[in-house]
Amino acid sequence: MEAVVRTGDTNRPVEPGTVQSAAWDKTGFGAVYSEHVAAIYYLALRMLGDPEQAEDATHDIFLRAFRNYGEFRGESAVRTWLYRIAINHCRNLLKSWHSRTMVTESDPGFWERAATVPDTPFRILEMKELGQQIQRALDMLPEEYRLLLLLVANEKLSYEEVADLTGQTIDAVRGKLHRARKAFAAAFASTH
Amino acid sequence: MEENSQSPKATRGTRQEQHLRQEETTAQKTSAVEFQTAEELIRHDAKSTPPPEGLEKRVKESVEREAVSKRRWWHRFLGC
Repeated sequence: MEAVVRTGDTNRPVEPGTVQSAAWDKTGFGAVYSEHVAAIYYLALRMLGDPEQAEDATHDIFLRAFRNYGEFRGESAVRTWLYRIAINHCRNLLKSWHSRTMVTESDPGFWERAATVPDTPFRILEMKELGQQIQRALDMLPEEYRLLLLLVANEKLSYEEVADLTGQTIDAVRGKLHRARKAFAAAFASTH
Repeated sequence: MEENSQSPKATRGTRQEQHLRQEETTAQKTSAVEFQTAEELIRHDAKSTPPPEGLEKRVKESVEREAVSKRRWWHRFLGC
């Protein structure tokens, strides 16, 4: 197993076959990381809105997952298990920051605009700043809508899993998703 | 008056620039990408947002350190 003995991407020498270097591969956690890191990092990035914070958060999420990996019974998919850890971690960070300014449902002007936004496709001319535009739009949404859109955007998560992760019924997810789409469209339009 | 003072060559140059700009604008319009829903847009963004390169190294090192702390337990368990 190459990764067991490979030390090139770490500055610390690791003896081949030692327990600590084997942990990544022998436990299967390395494969779990490789498969899910992109989705978890993106979720953290768009929930927290800051690349450095998202990197730190992703590190902490996977470390927490590793600590509990032995207790993971496989009752749910690894994906939803990881997502649950990620959502809780990001929520805790957001709660502790108190510094982000978001438009909430108490802003009637925003929601009036959102309700009247027609269901037209998003026509993107300039892809360069698309990520920043999406971030600005997501930042304007209530956390519930933001999370819902980010979860539903992941094709590998079923509506049932999204409902489970957000603690609501599938019907509630569908209903809120409709409003979240409208709100996002209005917010996205305002970022131009 | 200023326009009249321009040489024919300069005027032609300006027209060519305008024409090029128009072509660019047209090309941009035709190359616009459409996303039907917010999820499609976000999905596209996710695919073009890879995790930072150094992240795997960080996580791997932390996992290894974490494993070291469990090592004695493993050794006892495995009897080695």
